[in-house]
Amino acid sequence: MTEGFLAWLASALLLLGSLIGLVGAIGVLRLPDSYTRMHAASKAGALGAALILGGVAAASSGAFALAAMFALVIVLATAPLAAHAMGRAAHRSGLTPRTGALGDEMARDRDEELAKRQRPATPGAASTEADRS
Amino acid sequence: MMSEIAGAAWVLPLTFALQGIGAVLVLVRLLRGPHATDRVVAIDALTLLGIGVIALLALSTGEVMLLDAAVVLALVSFLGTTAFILMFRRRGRGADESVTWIDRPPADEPAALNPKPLEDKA
Repeated sequence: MTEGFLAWLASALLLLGSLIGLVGAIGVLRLPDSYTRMHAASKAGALGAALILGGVAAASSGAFALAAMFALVIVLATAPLAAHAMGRAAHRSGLTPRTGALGDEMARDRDEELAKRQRPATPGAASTEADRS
Repeated sequence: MMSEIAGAAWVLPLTFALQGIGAVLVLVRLLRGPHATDRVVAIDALTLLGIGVIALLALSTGEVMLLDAAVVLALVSFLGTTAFILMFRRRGRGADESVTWIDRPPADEPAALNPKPLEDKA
């Protein structure tokens, strides 16, 4: 009974993972912007790989489960980190995202921060000195 | 074989085929990509698909060692992406602003923490 359930779970996880990986690949090919392609690659790709690893863990009836779960944790830990650092580096290098109604908030924050730091009269400096001492 | 899958005759070939089609699509983006970030994202997606293929190979051949190869591929892809990021650091800005707004310490920082003084302070 449980072995039959594990077999069905394994094939369902494998099919779902490969389908999500294919959807992520279509997104990497078709989406209009480098940032949106990053979304497709990191989220759908990582979810596809994680589901396939879970399917492998279920299919081997526990023999591969430890190694597969370790690989799953590694994938789920490193893929969002890499995508986040990639997006931040792309924004810093001057690649403007294709924005909607809200605009480029990261560029606005950066400009406000630079304007605040280049202001000559320093009430902020006095307060930070008071905080530090 | 220890693998027990419902419909094993067609599930494993179908998953291999879907991963292969996805790899071909990502490869088109890798070759076409207008900006360098697109190519780095495509390499990232390609290694994630490769991790899935290695896991499927481990299942179909019954080798547990291949899952360790999947772990190593995940770690190496993370290191590779962070190494590619160093390529984008100083593009589009002058030599003065090569250290950008997050890395730059505040202008009123003491000199021990701020060894390179900013020009716009004076």
